[in-house]
Formats: sequence, C-alpha cells, structure tokens
Amino acid sequence: MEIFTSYIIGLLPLVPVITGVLISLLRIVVNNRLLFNTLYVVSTIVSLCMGLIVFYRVFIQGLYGVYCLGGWFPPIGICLVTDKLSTIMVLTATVVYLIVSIYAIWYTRHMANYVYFYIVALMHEAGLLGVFLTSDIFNLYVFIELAGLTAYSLILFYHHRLRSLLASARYAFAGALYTGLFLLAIVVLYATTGTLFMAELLVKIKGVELLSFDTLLLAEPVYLIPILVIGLWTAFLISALYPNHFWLPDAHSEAPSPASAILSGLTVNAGVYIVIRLFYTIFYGSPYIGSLEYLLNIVILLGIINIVYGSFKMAIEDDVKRILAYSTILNIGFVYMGIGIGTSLGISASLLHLFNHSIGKMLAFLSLGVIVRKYRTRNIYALEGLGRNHPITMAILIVSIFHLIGVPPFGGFFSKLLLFQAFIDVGGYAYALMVIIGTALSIYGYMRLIELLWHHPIHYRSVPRESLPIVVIVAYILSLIIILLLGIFSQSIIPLFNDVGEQVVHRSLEYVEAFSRILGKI
Amino acid sequence: MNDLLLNILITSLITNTFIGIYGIVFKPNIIKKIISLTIFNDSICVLIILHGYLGPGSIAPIHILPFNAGNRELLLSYSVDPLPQAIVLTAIVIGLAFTVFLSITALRIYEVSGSLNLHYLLKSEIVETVEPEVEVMEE
Repeated sequence: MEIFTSYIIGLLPLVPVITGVLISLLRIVVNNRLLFNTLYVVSTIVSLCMGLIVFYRVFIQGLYGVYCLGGWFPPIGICLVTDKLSTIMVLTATVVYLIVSIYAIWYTRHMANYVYFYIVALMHEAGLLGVFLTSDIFNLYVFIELAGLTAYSLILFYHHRLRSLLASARYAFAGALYTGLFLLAIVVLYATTGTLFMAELLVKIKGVELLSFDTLLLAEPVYLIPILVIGLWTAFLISALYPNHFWLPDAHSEAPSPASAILSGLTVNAGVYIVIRLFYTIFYGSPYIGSLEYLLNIVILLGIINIVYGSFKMAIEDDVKRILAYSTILNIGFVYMGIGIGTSLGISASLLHLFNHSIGKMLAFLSLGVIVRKYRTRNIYALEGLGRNHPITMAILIVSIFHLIGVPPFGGFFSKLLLFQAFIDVGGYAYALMVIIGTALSIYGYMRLIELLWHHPIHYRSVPRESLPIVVIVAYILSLIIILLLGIFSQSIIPLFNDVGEQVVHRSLEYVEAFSRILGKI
Repeated sequence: MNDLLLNILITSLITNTFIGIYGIVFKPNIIKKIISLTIFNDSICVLIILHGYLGPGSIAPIHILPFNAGNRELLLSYSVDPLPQAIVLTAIVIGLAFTVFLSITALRIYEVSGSLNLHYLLKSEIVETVEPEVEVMEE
C-alpha cells in the first residue's frame, strides 16, 4: 500500500505531462476532436482520483507519502512529498482542473487550434502540481518556471489581439526578472546552509537536533533574511500581492475564459503555497533571525491594501472579466491577512478561504464566459440586461458571487467567519473590523455586475429558454455541488483545515518525519 | 593578484546584473528588454558558477587517480562543487525557453501593432478591431 501511494505521488505531475506529449504527437497523424477531448478529460479525471487517494491516505489514515525521483534518496536525490498542506493544494488543483477541462470541450468547439490549449493547460497543471509536491528548493524554482511559462502562453492564446500579447509580455518580463533573483537567492541559501533539500534546510535553519542530520552552526546567518525576503517577493508576484499586482487584471481578463478560471483559481494558490512553505515550514521560529513579527505585520498591511484597492477598482471597472480579476486581488488580500496573523487558526482560515475562492472564482469565470462568448463583448454596458436571456447561467453566476462575498448558506461565509475569529483570538480588533469593512466594500462591485447584467431592459423582450450544452451543465452541477457541500458540511471541513494550520505553525517537524521511511530513524 | 582579479570579476558581474535589471525595467524596446534579460540571467549564472570555484589548482570532480581513501580526500579538497554547475545548466535551458517565448511574443506584437515600444503600447488606449473571445478558425 505504501509503495502504491508512493507511485501515485510520482505519477501526479507525470500524468498531465504524458497526456500533453501524447496529444501533441497524435496531432501529427490524426485530427480527431473526440479523441483529444477524451484524452484531456480522462487525464484530469485520473489526476482527481489520484488526488483523492492521496487525500485519503494523508487525512484519514494520517500517513505521509514520499516518492523519490529516479530512486535517489535525499539529500542527493529529489523527492516529492505530500504533507497536509500540499495535499489540500493538490486536491484543489485537481478538482478545478477537472471542471475546467469539461467546460473547455464546449468552449473550444469551433477552434481549429484547440489542441494547443489542451497541451499548454496540461503542462500548466503539471507545473502547479510539481510546485505543490516538491521537496527540493531548486526543483521548486524549475516547477515555478514551468507553471509560469505555460501561464504566459495561456494568456496570449488569442495571439491576434494586441492586448493579450501585451499582458503576456508584461507578466513574462516581470516573472523572468523575479525568478532570476529567486535563483540567486536559492544559491545563496545553498552557500549558507550547504543543502537544497527542504527538510534539511528546516532542520539547519531552525537548529533542531535530529539524529540523521549534522546540525552544524550556520556560517553566515546574516544572509537568511534577504533570502527569505526575495523568496517571499517572488511568491507575491505569483499571487499578486499589492506592489506586484500590476499584471493580474490584464492577464486574467485577456485569457480565454477556461484559462482565466485556471489562472485566477489556481496559479495564485501557488504563490500562497510558496509563502507558507518558505515562511512557516522553513524559516519561522529560527534562532538565527529572531522574531519575524514585523514581516507578518507588513504582510497584513499589504493584504489590507489589496482589499481596499481591489474593491475600489471593482466598483469603477467597465469590463466584466476585469471586475472578476480585481475580485481575485481582493480575495488574495483576505488570504494574506490570515497568513499574517501567525497563529494556526489564521493559517487554516486563509487556506479555507483560498479553497473557497478557487471554486467560486472558477465558477464565476466559467459562467461569465458563456455570456461573453455569446455576445462577443466584455463591456458591462453592452451586456446590460442580456443576462436575462441566460437564466440558468445567471443563477450560477449569482451563486458563485454570493459564495465569494460570503452569504451564509455558501462556504465563503465560514472562511471569513474563521478569519474574523482568528483576529479576535489574538486581540486584533481593528483587523477583525477590517475583514467586515473589506467585505462590505466589495459588495458594491459584485452587485453592480449582477445588477447590470440582470437589469430590466427598456424594450421588453420575451425571455427565450436557454439551451446549454451538456458539458457546461455537467461543469455547473459539479461545482455547484462542491459549493453547497462546502457550506453545508463546513463544521466538518473546518477541523480538517485547523489540522493543516496546526501542522504548518506548530508541528513543522512532521515535514521531516515524512521522510523517516526512507532515511531511517530520524 | 588572483584575489584582485576575482574581486574585479565579482564586481563586474554584480554591475552587469544591475544593468540587466535597469534594461528590463526602463528600456522601452522589447528587443532591448530581451537582451537585458539575457545579460541578467547570464551574469547570475556566472555568479553561481563562481560559488563552486575553489581557486587556482581546482579540478573537475572526476576520479582519474586509482580509487583509495587518500585519493578520495585529495579529490574532495581540490575538486569544484558540481551542484552549482548542474543548477546553471538547468537555468540556462530555462533562460533559453524564456528568450524563445519572448522573441515570438515580440514578433507577434510587431506584426499586430507595427511597433516594438512596449511602454508606449502599454500606455496608449488600444482600440481592438478583433472581438474578445473570438473563434480562431485558421491554423
């Protein structure tokens, strides 16, 4: 059973790559749309099944899995590892990818170059899963670059539009610059600690006494703070925290709608994951660098700026997809506020909010994509009242937006409540108030979108029955079920996330213990 | 003398890195941005290689003498660190991917807009003649 889980973990990033390469090779000989659609959807279904198996192993049985690439054990080889944090992230990614792949069949039905979308989306999935699974910090850099390059390619899928080209070029230059600095930081980290293996980095930087690692004193701990700051800054670019948010509205609105759902729902998760991994698992509580409270306060402050900026820009924006893109900036602000608290409850609140945001934002982009695709415009005034022709899609859009705002029956409410409780617990009443104010500020922007789309038309029209293709209905139903489950079973979901938060903040040595099976006694 | 040369090398590489950053941020032309990015990446790669360098007399980490404990110690003390070189190999490949991607993007931008001035294009109000979410029928 352990070997089986091990292979599952190894196959998680590999299945999308294999499918992508297979599609690109088959494209040379055949041009059968049904074949490629089947391959694409089957690979995402397989990914989801593997994600569920890993989830069952880690959360129900409490066993962490390790797969060492090529059979080389650490610290020489690179291992993929699933602890609770990465399992949650992998599960989010596979769920979102399954729903988006079903929807993409409908979306690309008239496109001649749909194959490239499938290939690039699959490679992006592989990159993201690699980021979530890897336990080697240089391998993390490689997977960031893989996810990044494919994200830029997804953005310029409509390569005859100047705006998407410019959005992609701007994001690509920023990404190349930041990841170059991240590479330099990684090598300085290697020079300081003599390893790139995350578990050993944890042991050395936190100064823990363990049998199988030589805990020598670090030579130059002075460099640890700049390394941490550069790493966090790169992750802030990926997840669009305030000074690095500039690329997001253009990029997310110019991509095709399924790609927007992927980028907005998942790619920002990678940045949040890297922040939590670097900050809490490796650096937090190190005797070399002292208290990191000031960094946490800066993170909370940037999160608040994100919330205010996102909600004001949402209120004045005329482009429907840009409204949702600014809503991503807004929700990332809430997530970073949770990370900045520094308690386990804060981490669990921000992770739950991230999960809720992924599902809700994906569904919002997918349902808006139906309307935008039909009327060929993104201007909110050109679309005025046209939502009435699509009652089912509008209902789904309203559900997803209520989920994002946090209206009680849906899951979004409980994550914001948890965030509020986390601030009350540490006595940050002003911040707790800010959560409520931020939500209130955001409501105008969301409601403006719904109101203008559902506005009663001046010239009365009979409402035609909406005929949706079956794949879109399947995608709607799947994500609707998840949103309702997140709301109804929130009392049983929250303990799972509390467990993750506990592990991240207080029990980070479990990350090292995950390797005990291959490294022997630790 | 050797130390002086190394110091000059490191200083010039760090200067190069900053020149690269300056070019990426402030030069409006996309081609110049790509060239700056290459300068930036390559300077970082050489800096990384320098970390593994031990000084004059260092050798490649390959066994050529008969394998015994003494020779192993000799190799360990004189060979350069191979890990930075492996990192640099990967980084060069990724840099190549970036250069190719950005060059193609620059080509498309030039074909669509007739300009390579990225700052001007980002500031100007673009009126798209092509609808969003259009169906791409041709290859």
